[in-house]
Amino acid sequence: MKNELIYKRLKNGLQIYFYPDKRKHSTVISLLVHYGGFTSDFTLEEEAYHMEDGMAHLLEHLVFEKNCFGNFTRLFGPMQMSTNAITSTYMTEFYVDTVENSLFALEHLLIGVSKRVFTEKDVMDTKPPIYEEIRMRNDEVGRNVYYTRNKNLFHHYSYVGGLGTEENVKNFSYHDVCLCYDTFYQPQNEVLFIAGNIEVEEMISKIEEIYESLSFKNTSFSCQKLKEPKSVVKKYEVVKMPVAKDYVDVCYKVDFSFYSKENRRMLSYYIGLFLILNFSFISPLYKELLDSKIVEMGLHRDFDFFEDYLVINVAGYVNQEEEFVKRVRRVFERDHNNNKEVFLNQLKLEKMEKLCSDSTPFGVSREFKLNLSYYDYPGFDSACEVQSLNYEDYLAFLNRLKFKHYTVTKVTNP
Amino acid sequence: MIRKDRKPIFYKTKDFNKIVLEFLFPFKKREEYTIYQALLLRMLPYKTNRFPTEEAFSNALISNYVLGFSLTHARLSNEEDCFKYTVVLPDNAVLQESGYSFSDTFSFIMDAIYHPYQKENCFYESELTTSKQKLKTSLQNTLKKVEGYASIRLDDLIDDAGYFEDSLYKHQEEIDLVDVRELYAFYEEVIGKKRPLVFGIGNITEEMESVILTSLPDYPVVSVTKKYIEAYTVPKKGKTVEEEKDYNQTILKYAYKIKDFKKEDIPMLSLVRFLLSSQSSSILQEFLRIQNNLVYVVSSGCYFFHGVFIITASIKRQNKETAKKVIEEVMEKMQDTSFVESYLEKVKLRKKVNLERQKDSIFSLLSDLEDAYFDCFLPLPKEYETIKNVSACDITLFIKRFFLDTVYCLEGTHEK
Repeated sequence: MKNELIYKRLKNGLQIYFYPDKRKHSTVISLLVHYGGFTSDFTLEEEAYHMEDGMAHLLEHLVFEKNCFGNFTRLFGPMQMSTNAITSTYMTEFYVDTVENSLFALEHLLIGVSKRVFTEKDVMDTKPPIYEEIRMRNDEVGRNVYYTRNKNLFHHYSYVGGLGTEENVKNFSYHDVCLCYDTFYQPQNEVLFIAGNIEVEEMISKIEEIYESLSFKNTSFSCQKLKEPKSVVKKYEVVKMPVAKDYVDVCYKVDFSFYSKENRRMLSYYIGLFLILNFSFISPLYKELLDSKIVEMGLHRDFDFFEDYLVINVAGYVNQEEEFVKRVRRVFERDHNNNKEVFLNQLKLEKMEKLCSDSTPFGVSREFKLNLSYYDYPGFDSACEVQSLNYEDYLAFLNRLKFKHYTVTKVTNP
Repeated sequence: MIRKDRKPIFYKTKDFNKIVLEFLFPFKKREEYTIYQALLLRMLPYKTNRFPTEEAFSNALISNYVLGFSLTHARLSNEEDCFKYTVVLPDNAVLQESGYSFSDTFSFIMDAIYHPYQKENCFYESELTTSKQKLKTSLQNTLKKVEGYASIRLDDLIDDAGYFEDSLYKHQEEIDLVDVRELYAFYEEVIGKKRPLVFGIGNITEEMESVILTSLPDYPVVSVTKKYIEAYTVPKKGKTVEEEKDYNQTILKYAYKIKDFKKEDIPMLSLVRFLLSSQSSSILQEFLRIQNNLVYVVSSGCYFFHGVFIITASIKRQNKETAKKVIEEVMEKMQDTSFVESYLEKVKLRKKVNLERQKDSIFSLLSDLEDAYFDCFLPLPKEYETIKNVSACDITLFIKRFFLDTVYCLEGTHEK
């Protein structure tokens, strides 16, 4: 990123980041609340609380659909703006993407999110579409694998997927919802990110003016870090749902508590490269699996961070389950010294992509949110950082990780 | 206006850090090509004779400063399909690599397109076998998914004229019958011995333009047909089809056929879709979700080449009759001028605002370039000029040409 990131902190604790880019034709205003699907256990005024999976998502719907202006879609949509809210693992985001009237968007987004007006009836009314959403996701193979493996990986985390079950959502009381809103939805727990064709000084004045009219409880809370053991709960589970072929997912749970957040950001580059080198269509394993007809199509690969654990998975449509699992495990559990030339080539590609990025303001806001959410890093990845990556560090980072504990999820026809 | 000359068409701009080139190979649609097309997509863009493994080709892309290289299939009109290679390059004015040579990169691209991995005018048997298996699994997977199954079923139910006879799902048994020689012959016919139509956007210098012009092969230029639309005859009476399957969701679909649909109706159909589904009006969302809590998601779509409009809602099984009633009420209201009037200007404004937004999107601008050439879909600025004077009365008159063909409900039996 070549443009400058401008920082300001308000007296009420709200952190603001501006990324002005006068070459662009739109503006994105994104309010990020440090409260996502993963947060289930917290202490507030010395009292401990536990919320089941799905609360952050319900609250997101409520704030978006039942705020002091009504429903954000009804407010911003007719003004030719695009708006939405997303609950991820660690954050809930409310954003508006607009070409004109950005000050209007800013004001109404901030006020709408910051004032709790929803009633008990509003909570009841908000639940049915969420039940539909849960039902929709329950028909997705990927989602089912995600829920099942999270359940089998973690002993103590309530987080399964963020949506919760219908029963969880049904049981959330009005009192619970208000409690979570009052705890987490306050400026000191929020970050405001604004990118695009903006006048920074004008926006700062507007934001200060808005917050002068708002009041907050300023509660002091802390999130509880649960002591999660390194082992998995269950090593194998079968899920029955319609699929063309058996779909098998191998997922490792890797302790990386010894890596700081900054190092985890570096690690994420190396994990991405590791997955490409070892499991993408250019990898020797993929060719081997395809030639011996162990798999039918490409491999899916991904990774995620849950507190002190790296979760990394490889999956595919398979003909021979045991052989697939054995070969994937072999790659994870062996020495990771790969083809250095391929590594350097992939690095070159990453660097070119960074230098020649053409992100829209919305695209930029995705990257900012990801870095903030996972690494507490309010910024962007740069070509210089990619330039600093090297094969020796790649090996060093990976070799510190112990790929020992894993769970296998198989999806098969009923 | 379709140009008969061979010259590439460029949108030269320094607004982006990348350059995108697209090489289009249109060909006349034939039912017997259905499986060939699908197989080629799975075979071509991953290796070549010069770089005969995925790893080697991937490394070569990077060494030649190619950020992206992909092959897709698109429908240009009712009569014409097209293979499209999309190549993404860095703007070297930004990258500043001393080793970069556009001429070398372009040679590499030409080699990748015209020298696929083959021997003696035949693809390799092992490559074809792998692609066949991938295709079969992919088709079967789509049929197992609730949205995929529902869409394919609806296509079947509405297609009384045989316009979807070239659907992949109707030709699955042919997959195993394709052999390496005939597939290669198809490749040569549509790509290998053809000069493409070339479109590009970015900081394309005169020197680069000259390299492109002189390096394109001297094969016959591809031709483009002018028959865009083949509309259905509207039904005398709609039908309702309901079935059950073991899914969690229930999917409800309404399919309308538009009377005497022609190419000039495409912007109106797009506007109707915008009215029902864009955030400026969200009519379907407003009635089905916000007011009645019947859905999480409701959407609309069009088959522009056949004049078909489809509404899709994911609902709870027990709400089926209520959801149907609400959808029918919405479509009834769309024939009321005052109802449409209250939303129309906002939607038009959104289309206008999108013209600004589009300036940040390299792919949207490129798409407009191609639309202008093929003259079927209008580029966004032209589309806006066409619809900006459309009145609510025009919309309601257009909606009166919508005839309900099929109501299809796929009920999920796993719903708790």
